[in-house]
Amino acid sequence: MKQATEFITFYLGEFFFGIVASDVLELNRDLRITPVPRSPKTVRGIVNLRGEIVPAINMHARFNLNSVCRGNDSISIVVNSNGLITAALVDDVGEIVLLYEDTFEPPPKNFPEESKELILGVHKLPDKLLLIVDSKKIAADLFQSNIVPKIADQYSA
Amino acid sequence: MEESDEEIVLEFILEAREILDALDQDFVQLELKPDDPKLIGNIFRGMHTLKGSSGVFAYKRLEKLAHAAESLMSALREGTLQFDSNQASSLLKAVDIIRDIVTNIDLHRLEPEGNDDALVSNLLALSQGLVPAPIAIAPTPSPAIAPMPSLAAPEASAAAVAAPPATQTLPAAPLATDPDESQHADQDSTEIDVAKSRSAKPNEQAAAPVKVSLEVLDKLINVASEMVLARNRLLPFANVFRDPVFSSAVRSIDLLTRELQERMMTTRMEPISQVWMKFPRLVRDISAELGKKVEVIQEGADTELDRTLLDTIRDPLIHIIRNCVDHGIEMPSSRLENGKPEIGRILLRANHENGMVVIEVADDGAGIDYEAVREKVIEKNLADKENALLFNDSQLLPFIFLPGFSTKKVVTNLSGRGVGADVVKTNIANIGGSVEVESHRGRGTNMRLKIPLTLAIMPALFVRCQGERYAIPQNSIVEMIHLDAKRNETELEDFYGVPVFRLRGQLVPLLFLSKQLTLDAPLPAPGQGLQVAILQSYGVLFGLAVDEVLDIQEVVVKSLGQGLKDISEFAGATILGDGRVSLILHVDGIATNSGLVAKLQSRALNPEKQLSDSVAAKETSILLFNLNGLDNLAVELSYVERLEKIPASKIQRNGDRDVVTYGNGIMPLIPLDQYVQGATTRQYEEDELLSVIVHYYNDRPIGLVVRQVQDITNAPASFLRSDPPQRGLRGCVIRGDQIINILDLQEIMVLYNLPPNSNAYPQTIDMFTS
Repeated sequence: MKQATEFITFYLGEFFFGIVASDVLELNRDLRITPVPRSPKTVRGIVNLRGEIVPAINMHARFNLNSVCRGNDSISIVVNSNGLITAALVDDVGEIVLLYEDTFEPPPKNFPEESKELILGVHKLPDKLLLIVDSKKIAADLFQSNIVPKIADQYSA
Repeated sequence: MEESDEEIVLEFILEAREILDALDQDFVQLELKPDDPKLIGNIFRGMHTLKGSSGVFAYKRLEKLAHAAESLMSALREGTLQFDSNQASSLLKAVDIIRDIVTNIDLHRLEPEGNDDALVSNLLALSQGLVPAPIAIAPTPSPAIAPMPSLAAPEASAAAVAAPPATQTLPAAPLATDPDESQHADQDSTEIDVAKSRSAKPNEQAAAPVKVSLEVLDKLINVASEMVLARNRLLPFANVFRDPVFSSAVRSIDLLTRELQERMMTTRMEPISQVWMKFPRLVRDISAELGKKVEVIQEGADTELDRTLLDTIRDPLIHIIRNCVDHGIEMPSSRLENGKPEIGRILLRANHENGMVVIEVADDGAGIDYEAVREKVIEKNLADKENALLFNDSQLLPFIFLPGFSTKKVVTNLSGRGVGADVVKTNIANIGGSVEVESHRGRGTNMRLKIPLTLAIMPALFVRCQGERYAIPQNSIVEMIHLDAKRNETELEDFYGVPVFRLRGQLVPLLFLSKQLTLDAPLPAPGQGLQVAILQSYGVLFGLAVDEVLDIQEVVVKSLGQGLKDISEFAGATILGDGRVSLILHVDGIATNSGLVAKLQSRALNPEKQLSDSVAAKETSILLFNLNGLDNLAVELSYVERLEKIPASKIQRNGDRDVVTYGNGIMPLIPLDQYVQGATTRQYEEDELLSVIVHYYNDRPIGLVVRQVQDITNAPASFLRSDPPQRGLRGCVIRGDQIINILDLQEIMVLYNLPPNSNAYPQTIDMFTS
């Protein structure tokens, strides 16, 4: 019996990604994002998810893509990233796909280093590649103290 | 399997802690009432339970100690021995070591290594009625490697789940829970009990409390608040469809939601006895060390407040109590000499007052040593020597709140390290509370802490910066000003690289919020008007320039969560009525990060005894006036621009506001008697000449209508607080034998700017209000 996993697919620029469906709590459109100054670069801000303050991750920045994150009209995939509820901002959501292990491969060698840690591997679909995102790593910046350095020296003589 | 073992250990730790806390209290009471069989029984059963459950986990040290203590208690219970202080000390030592062991188990899941043979044999000898030589207890070694006790034995686990069977039979062990009804502890060890009655009446068997983890509770509160929002969306439909059945269903949902929300809020409350419980033991230990005799009296131990606040007030209270015993209460001999009872008293009292919780710590000791304070003031050059020599007691009192001010000549491990009243004051101020001290020579000291009921909701001023709204907690705002370009006020001066401006003759440093938040924004061009909030942090006054000042609202404070809560510029976030999120600024963090605090502490901005100015009695000019039905009112002269007489016939209407033309603009008239508590309103007569005090608010003239302007006089600049606070009044001063009430212009302006008929001040927009 082959192992099958369900993935929710999404788009960032011209790339096609998948994320394990069981890590995804919900999809949201038009969450109003409040920017948080001095937060890590990948954090676009915070949103109100039914009374809960949840960080919103700019996935374009997270993958170091040159493309630009659209404004508030992004779609949020709310995921449990290493125990932290996080809204991952993406351009668009595709369908849910059920895939078997036999199409799975480790990430290609020529993959850029900084994005590699986020990618578990790829599923080769008939017409394109589906990059599988490691949901644990999405909010990784929030687990290190990546806060912009203090500006205490601005008044030093 | 592993997880359930973990749960069982957690439950054991929790139970052990509760027993230990109860033991502390019982021991102290036992010293006062050595014959009380009930107390002896309590302690015996507590030790017995500890012994039983530690045996299950093979915590050998713990078991041995508990066993020895139990033997002694059993002898006491049978009446073969009489309780004495020797036994008390040994038993308390045992309790301390057991507590250390439990802490270690909590941290490392291991029993620390150590040898308690001396104490164990001492206890056993005592239980035989022998008087052993006093023992020196070896310090408990820090976490050591010990073999992990096996937790996997199924019987052991099963027995531990039902660990409290021994407890169950203890009618007087109030902290034990009924295992059948208790929920398993969550991983999170912060737990609170939903049932409250137990601490209030420690000797009654209360309905078994159910433990719920705080996390679950917070989730529930969140869900309840979402429910309120969902209900709000539903309500309009009842009017659209006009279906009676549907309408009544909606009405039920409305009522139920309201009740749900109210009840959820009460679950955050816990009695203050949670914190107090440990104090009798603390006092006993300190006083024993100092050779003093002190008794602790508790009143209002069942007063409830938000549990997060309880955590914050614990340290300040411990500090105050240490001070009471160390500085306040005298040695027994000198108490007797002064005609006081030998045993000193510390009174802990809590009660509700005006939506605040007031906690009093009073002692009948020697009071503050004002001469030592005076010496220190002179030594530290906090005031002119001639002045300092003339200060009376109430003028000296505020100095004790200055950072680093301690009169204790000898530094002990109890107090005198120069961290004192200022830390207490800062901690309490941080949660929106205040501290008042009263102290009479030879008669004792009374500290009053006023604490808001809950931390979760506080008033905040909203400002705009680069298009985003930010909230500034109101308790750090001193005032709002507008630096006007026309009046040449915006001219910033440079003080060692810090931009400063003049505020009533005082130099105040200025920060720009956009710069502090590293928003990429150009600084305002020189000569442009500035909106500035004057803030106070660590005793430093500074201005924070923002783009726009919005309104004051009550906000529910929420954590920013993992990673973001470490950004020191923000205290949290709040969700506004429309569902949007706003960041709450952390004023202390902004001041510190800007480098301002360090800079100003090393180089005083206003060199002329800035410190003493802020505390020593200073005089200010006030304008006396009266209102209809209320005499002896005053407003600080600095707020008064001009006095006018305006005929009532000139009043025109502008919407629902009374206005007059003034210069070439419009001046709104505020009938003060509508805003000051105690005054009666009246209609103006057609031909009346109104007395109007002109005040500039945000650069616009505002006319305050009073009945009669009487006089200008001088008064102390530090106002006495009105208690309870009165609407529209900031405080009062005493002049001759009259009490003069000082107007709170800020509050009046806020009230005036609220929409008519709004009873909401400050306007509440937390999630829970519909």
